[in-house]
Amino acid sequence: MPRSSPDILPGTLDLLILRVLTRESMHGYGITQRLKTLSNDVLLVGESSLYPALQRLLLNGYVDAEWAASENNRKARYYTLTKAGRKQLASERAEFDQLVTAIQHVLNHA
Amino acid sequence: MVRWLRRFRARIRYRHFEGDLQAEIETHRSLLQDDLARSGADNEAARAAAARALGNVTLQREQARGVWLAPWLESLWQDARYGVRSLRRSPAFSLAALATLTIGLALATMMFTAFSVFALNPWKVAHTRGLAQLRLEGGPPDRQRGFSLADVEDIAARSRTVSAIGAYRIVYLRVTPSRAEESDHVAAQYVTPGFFDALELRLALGRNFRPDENHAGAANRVAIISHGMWQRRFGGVPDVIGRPIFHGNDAYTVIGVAPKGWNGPAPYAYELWLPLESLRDSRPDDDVFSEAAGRCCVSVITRAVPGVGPDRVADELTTLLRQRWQRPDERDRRVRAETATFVGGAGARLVLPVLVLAATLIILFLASANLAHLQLARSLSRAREIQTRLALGASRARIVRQLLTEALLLSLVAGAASLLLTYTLSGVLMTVSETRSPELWTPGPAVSVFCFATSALMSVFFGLAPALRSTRVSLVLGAGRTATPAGRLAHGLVLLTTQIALSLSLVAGASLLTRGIQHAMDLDVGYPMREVMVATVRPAGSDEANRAAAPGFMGALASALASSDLPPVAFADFPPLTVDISTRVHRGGETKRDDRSVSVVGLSPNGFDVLGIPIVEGRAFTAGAGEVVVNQRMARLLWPDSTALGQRIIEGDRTYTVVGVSRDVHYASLDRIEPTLHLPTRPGLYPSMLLRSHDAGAADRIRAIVAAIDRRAALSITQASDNLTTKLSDQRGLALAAWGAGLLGLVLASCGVFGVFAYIVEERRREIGIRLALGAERRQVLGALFRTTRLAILGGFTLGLLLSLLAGPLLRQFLYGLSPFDPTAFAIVAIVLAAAGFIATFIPARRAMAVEPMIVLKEEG
Repeated sequence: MPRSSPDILPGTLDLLILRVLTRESMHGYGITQRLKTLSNDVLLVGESSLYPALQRLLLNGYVDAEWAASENNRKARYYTLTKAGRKQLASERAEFDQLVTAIQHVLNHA
Repeated sequence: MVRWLRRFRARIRYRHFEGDLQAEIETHRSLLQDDLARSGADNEAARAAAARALGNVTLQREQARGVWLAPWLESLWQDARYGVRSLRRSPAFSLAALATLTIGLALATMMFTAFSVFALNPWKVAHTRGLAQLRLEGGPPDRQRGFSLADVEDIAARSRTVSAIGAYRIVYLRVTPSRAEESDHVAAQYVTPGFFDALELRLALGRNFRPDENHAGAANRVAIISHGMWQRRFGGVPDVIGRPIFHGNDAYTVIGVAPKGWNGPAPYAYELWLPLESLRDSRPDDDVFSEAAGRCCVSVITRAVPGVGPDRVADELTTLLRQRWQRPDERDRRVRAETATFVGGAGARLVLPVLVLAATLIILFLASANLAHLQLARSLSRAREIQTRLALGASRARIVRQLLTEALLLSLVAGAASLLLTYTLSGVLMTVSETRSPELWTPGPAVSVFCFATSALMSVFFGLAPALRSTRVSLVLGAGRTATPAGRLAHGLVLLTTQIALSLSLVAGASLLTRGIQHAMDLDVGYPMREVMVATVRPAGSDEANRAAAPGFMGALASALASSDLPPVAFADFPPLTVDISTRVHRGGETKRDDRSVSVVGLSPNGFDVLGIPIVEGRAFTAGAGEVVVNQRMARLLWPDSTALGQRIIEGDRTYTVVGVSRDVHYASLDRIEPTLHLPTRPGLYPSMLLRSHDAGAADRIRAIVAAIDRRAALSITQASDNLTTKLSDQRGLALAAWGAGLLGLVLASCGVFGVFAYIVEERRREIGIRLALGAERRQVLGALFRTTRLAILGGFTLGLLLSLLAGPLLRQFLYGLSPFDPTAFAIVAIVLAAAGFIATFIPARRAMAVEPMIVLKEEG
């Protein structure tokens, strides 16, 4: 069973979802597929993490959701990034970059 | 904030929200299935693989939902709804539990309200800091331990820590703003001028007393009235300052009005303040005027110099007063300066709160114990439900929580109900406690918090034990239905006994008091008091003018009355059953040191005839001849061995000769007959007219006669029996309170009996069923059930009866000669208890009788 990789740093999933949504509105399944493709099959996000994460983003007002027809004519719920979401992405990304740089620095110089 | 709004919206549109989640996950599943199918799997295999990949869909939905709605909150909501449903399924239990809880909580809340009114409220003054009530402690246990006026003067003169000191004494008076009107019975404080200084009270109108007004026999008597009295009795006129207010025939000039809503420092509603020294005029022998240092009777308040704490004040005053205490054993005494709360003022600093607390705890404890029994009985009948849930995998904690939620639900509803009850009854509390400050008695935030906190605590108290007991894990379904350890039941039975005993004695007391009132209403006072009409004249002029005009007025009145066709009219200083005035007298040949206190009644010579008070020896006195008539009791007291006729009596500097002995009658008071001295009415006053009549025509004729002599004089005409009703109103209040407490206690006890019984019936359902199946008669089964509680009920009755027989004599002064063992009173008790007992046992007994052997045996199968 695909599980959210334990290697995903806590809180990173929200960041990844927001980033993926910058290009276009997507439904839940599409998001998992996109994450999988972009990460060369490394990041396998399970539904049990995805949907709580999406609900969390909805609750915080970073994304909007609405029902629309999917590519193969199924009714799917599409998530769109909001203005607040973009702002959140920018700040979270900056934080993340900082964190990664710091970790890299430790790993390289310790 | 926005997040909470979103959450709230999700909660409201719960179904919609839930549907969205479900549909979304379903879409996810089908998209996954499509992909799998596209990559070559057949339809069925793809569906299965997709479902496998997705795992527990419900769990995922739960988790997603958990982001929005705190799961524990959701399950609490579930518990609550489940609780409401299950409470509705057993209305008898729910009602009994609610009643018990509400009564217990309402009583506790009321007591807490009273407690907060008396103990927690500071005095109604602008600054309580520095204000203190003085008290003496330690030293020899004197009957009199307090401050005298001399102490107060000494402190005022010498203290450096006290900036103002005031003394007061509380007296009840009848006053009226004009003699034309009925007088009010008001609580008054006789105070020193320092009283208002110490309180730093700014009067609404007028000024404080001046030191030169604080004298006995002052030419100009002055008074300060409450704002309420100004509005009520003076119509709120702005020029009230300078107007007179009358106490009997004495006129006082109003010099000040207290601020609105201010009725003295304590919650008792004082309406009138008079200079302390003017008390000498009416009560020259009052204890207040005793001189001994540290052994008297005025209440004292002080205002400390800014920055000085109460301990320093107490230390300094102790030092000052020690110089004046003469007895060596008084050296251990200390002055204490207590903060100005009402309890401090009421003098029962610790006793009252402790009593209140104890009573509250007992009531709550009894109520909780009752409820625990009810809960236990109920959980037995729910054993199947509980064991089934346990067997299906519910954790014990979950079910305990469920049961506790039910208990909490009950107690919160009861809490709200009791708060409402307290609110409704605050008027009654106010009347009973003789305080007239509604804002004090309206439950405020503190009381509400107390009420709900107590109710929550109680729910744990009565809910936890039964919940733990009924969820004790057992392997066999329905095996929770085992016999109870005898200890638990026995402890319940002891409680039951206490409850029955207590409520029985309360009901007995109430019943006795009621009978006492009835008895007093029918009491033979010794003369036909009920036929006596009382007419009291209040002239309109100033005090001096009235005194001067009195003889002329009375002469004209007497001759007008004599020439009218009215029945004979007598005069009395005060009408029957209004006030009991005492004086101090000694026999001829004795000295002032032998003075003893006797009641004194001023009557005109024909008074004995008109009222029908028989003279058993000698004759009635004639006016102005220094003659008196004593009653039999006084004759026996002073001259036990010889006749009273011809003896001399000395009152102050006047000497009287006894010319007659009258029969003992209730003239001044109802509960006892004091040794009484009958004197001619005093000249210079306006005595009441007494005549034997019920006739409205007679009243009209008296009005006409009085109006003809003095058009401005006012007249009030009543029947003497009205005074009896007024006299009994206090006792009525007491009886009412006792009935209230007794009946409440009885309801609690009934709930207790009900609970124990319900428990027994439920526990022995199987046994009852089997017995019935084996051919026992229902009557026999009932007998077996009653046997369990028989001891408790009989014990409670016996104990209660014993208690009330012991307590009865304590009520003697309210019984007016009625025996404390009055059979009628106890018959009423028996009827009330029988009714309560019947109701308490009827429902469970009926339930036991409704047991169908077939059903019980099937349940067992």
